Amino acid sequence: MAFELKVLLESALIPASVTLAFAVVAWLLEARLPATFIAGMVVVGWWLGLMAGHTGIVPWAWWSDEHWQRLPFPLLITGLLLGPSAACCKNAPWRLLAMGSLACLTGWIVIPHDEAWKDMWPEQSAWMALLVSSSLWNHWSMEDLLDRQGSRWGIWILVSALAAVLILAAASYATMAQWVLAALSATFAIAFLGIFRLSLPVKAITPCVCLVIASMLAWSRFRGELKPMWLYAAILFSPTIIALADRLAEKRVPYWGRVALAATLASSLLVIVIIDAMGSGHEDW
Amino acid sequence: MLLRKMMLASLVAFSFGLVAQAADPLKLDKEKSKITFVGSKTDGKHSGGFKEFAVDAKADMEDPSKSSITIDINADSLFSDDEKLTGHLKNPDFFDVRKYPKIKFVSTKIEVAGEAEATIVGKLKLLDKEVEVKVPCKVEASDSSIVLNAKFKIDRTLWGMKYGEGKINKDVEIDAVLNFKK
Repeated sequence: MAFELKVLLESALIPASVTLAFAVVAWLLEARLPATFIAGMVVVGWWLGLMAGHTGIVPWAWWSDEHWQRLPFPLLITGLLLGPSAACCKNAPWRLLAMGSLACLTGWIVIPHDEAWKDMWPEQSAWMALLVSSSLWNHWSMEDLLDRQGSRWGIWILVSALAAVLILAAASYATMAQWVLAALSATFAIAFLGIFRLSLPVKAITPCVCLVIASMLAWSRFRGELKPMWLYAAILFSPTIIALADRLAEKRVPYWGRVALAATLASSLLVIVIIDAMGSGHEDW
Repeated sequence: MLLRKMMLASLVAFSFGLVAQAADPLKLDKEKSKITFVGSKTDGKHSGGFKEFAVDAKADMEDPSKSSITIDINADSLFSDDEKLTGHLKNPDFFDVRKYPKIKFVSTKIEVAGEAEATIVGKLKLLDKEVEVKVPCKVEASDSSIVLNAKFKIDRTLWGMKYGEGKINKDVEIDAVLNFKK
């Protein structure tokens, strides 16, 4: 099979199709089943879509030496704990506490601390702090945004942040970029269906997507070139920044103005990342 | 026929050991030695190599098959004709230099294959996997140096380096020139 076709299948079409299939079933069953079950079905579909890509992209290992490949485990725990509860207990303090704890667990699992990474030790504490704080803020602000008439478009902010991570990862480590593409495709499928079905609990996947953004951006640093810190910060906290901008604009700007503001901020971030990527050249393979 | 074989064996033995004592180590001239490779795809190719490597070669003048050569390569010294590609080659898609910082070749057998030619059979350890390779090489001896010149291909997928199958060719051309000072 041609390489490009294989990438398209494993990293885009299969993850998106699996996720979409679960989301459509959740949509069809939403009148008959409890909201928590439907939210759980959406998040499990997202995770299975990502795993369908994962098994094609990297060799399967329960505990991979390549730390980011362990990410499916904390994502599954996060999805099962915080996905269904997004439908019933949106403002429950325990959910924020749980997200903070799960972000710490994720950081402990995916940030490498062994001898082979000795040269990166000075940066690891900072990345751990960034991973936990950005995941927590992004999760909180995105849930808030999705509750404020943003359920149809809010999730696209996470799609754009994932796309920015993908561009950085693609600059130096193709397998990792393919994995991020699988996460992006699964998220895209939910976001796409969410446009047509307002009641789809897209919020269920936000904790997992926030963890993917932070973890994989950290890895694009560990395995790639050093970029300016402001660029990492802009990508990491873009969901929070856009959600805050939306909150400020909510009272003054009409609905479509809010959508335009969020789209402008999200696409500006992507333009900056693309310009940076073009400026640092590309690998001619 | 026997005389011809004896002459060839003597030449290889001479090349490895020259005037040195049997099993004496040979000293590598790093300036004149290189280990390079060319990776290719259907519509292009890239060259690269390793800047740092150490060679431990010993010759047995009386029995060339008892000569040996060990090459230790610092994988992180990898370079290529494209800076971005160098970074990518060092990542787990290819050499994973952080996890596997050393590439090692250890000869197990040296066969005389023709006039001033030999085949060095050995184990190439790459990505923590050992695979036997046969390296045909030409041996040039002069008053001041002995040069082993090897051009051969390896199938990178045998070591588990499978990224890009269907786009990047499995076979990688290796060009090694090892120049030993007399």
